Amino acid sequence: MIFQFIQEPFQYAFMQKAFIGIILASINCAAIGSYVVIRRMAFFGEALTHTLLPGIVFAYLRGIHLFWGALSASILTALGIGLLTSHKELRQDTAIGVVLSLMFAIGIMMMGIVRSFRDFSSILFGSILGVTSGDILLTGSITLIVIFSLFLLYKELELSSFDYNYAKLIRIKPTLLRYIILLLTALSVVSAVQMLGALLTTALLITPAAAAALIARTFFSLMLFSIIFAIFAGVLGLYLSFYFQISSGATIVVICSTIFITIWIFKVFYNRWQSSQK
Amino acid sequence: MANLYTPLPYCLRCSKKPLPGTPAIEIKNVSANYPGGIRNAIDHITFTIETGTRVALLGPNGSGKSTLLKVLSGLLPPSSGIIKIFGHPVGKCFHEVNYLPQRSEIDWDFPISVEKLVLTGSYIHLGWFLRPKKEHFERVDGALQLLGLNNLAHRQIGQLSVGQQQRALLARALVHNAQLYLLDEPFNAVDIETQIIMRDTFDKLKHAGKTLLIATHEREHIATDYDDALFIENGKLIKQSLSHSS
Repeated sequence: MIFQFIQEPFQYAFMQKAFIGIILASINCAAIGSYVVIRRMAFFGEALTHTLLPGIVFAYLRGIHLFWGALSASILTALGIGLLTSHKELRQDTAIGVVLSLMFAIGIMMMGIVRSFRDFSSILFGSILGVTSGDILLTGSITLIVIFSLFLLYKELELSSFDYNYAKLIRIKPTLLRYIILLLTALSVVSAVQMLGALLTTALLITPAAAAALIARTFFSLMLFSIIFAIFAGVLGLYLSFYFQISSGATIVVICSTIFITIWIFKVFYNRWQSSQK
Repeated sequence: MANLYTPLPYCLRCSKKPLPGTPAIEIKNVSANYPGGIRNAIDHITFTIETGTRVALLGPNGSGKSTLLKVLSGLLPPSSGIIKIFGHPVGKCFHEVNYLPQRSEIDWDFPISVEKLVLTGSYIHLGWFLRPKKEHFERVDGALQLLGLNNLAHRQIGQLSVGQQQRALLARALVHNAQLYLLDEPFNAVDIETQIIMRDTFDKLKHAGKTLLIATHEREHIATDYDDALFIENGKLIKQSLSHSS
């Protein structure tokens, strides 16, 4: 019975691709999401998913694959925010607010030219039916880039995340590392857009890492827990979506949030119990 | 315990060695300002600190002590003036300079153990991509032992007391193993035990030939613990002398 429950979705090629796609996207988003959460850049993650819109519409108008449009827009956003905040005249949240509203407005203006909302609905809200072998190849390539970069730069990224000045003092170039994180975040978000949709991808980026941050004792374990939570939510979400005919993106987000709320409640009670023991 | 004061081989980037016979710090007419600042945080400051001495940097809050230390460490570029560290322009000898910041400059909620924080002091010896080796971990053990933190090595940095956090930062500075230490109010809000351990460590560093410039409010130990003192007020150097009176 359970074996059949597990096996059945795999009889369909589109579900096999969806499972591979969501696992790869979960790894990307959860790994880089750990830095996004720990560096208090959650608003940036949220902004990235919204600023994809003009890129997607532009790609549609020019007849290019929507993936490349989304990728270009997210990289442009990352670099724009990085540039605006590099001289410290502008706070990061202000810069993000400015870039987010500008990019989203451009996207809506461009949608007016196309005069069709339906063509973009799969990108905005996600669709597991739309995952192609090409998407998996692109997402897999992004996974390799993200994991390799995070592995190679682990000690530099970790130090610059909690002690910017010491990293700068020993010439670790924290500003360059910040740009690398912004670009890797942009890549990761784009890798998950096909599955979750532009509007819900933030959840895969932020929520598993936020849940992991509540229980992790080291940064490595935070990243590991975050990836485990994201894969669990992604896979379970796809099963539930398959059997109950509900939106896969929304289901995954609800599972991510349930994991977070459960751990948060556990942490609150654990802390109270610990305080009472003293 | 590993000898904390024997130099480790530095990474290839760290090629500038201190020029023999030069002072540790030599600055002339140095001014600096923060971006968007209306007036100079430090204003036309000139002084020299000889190698191997321990010097106190005194002044009220907001007088420019932290700014001066940041300028000397290369974290804040001066707007005018000349700075020489061991005979080189500031930043050329960066591996020989350690800046111990005020506690507020570090994210103490970051999930990292005391041992790992102290280990980051070895990164200057490694450069990009390389991981610490056994010898670096041995130095970390030695530094933790010297500062009485060996029992707390695996504790998260956010769970330490203020004094323990300050000692952890000093342990990292020891692992960095610089020639010049710029310490920003290390005695601020710390317990008596930490004060004693830190003074003892500063003695050891001085005997090892290191130069220390320590920003502090504590005037009672100036005559006994320091070789010289710099008094600054409103960003200007008002006196370089051990004497309290003007």
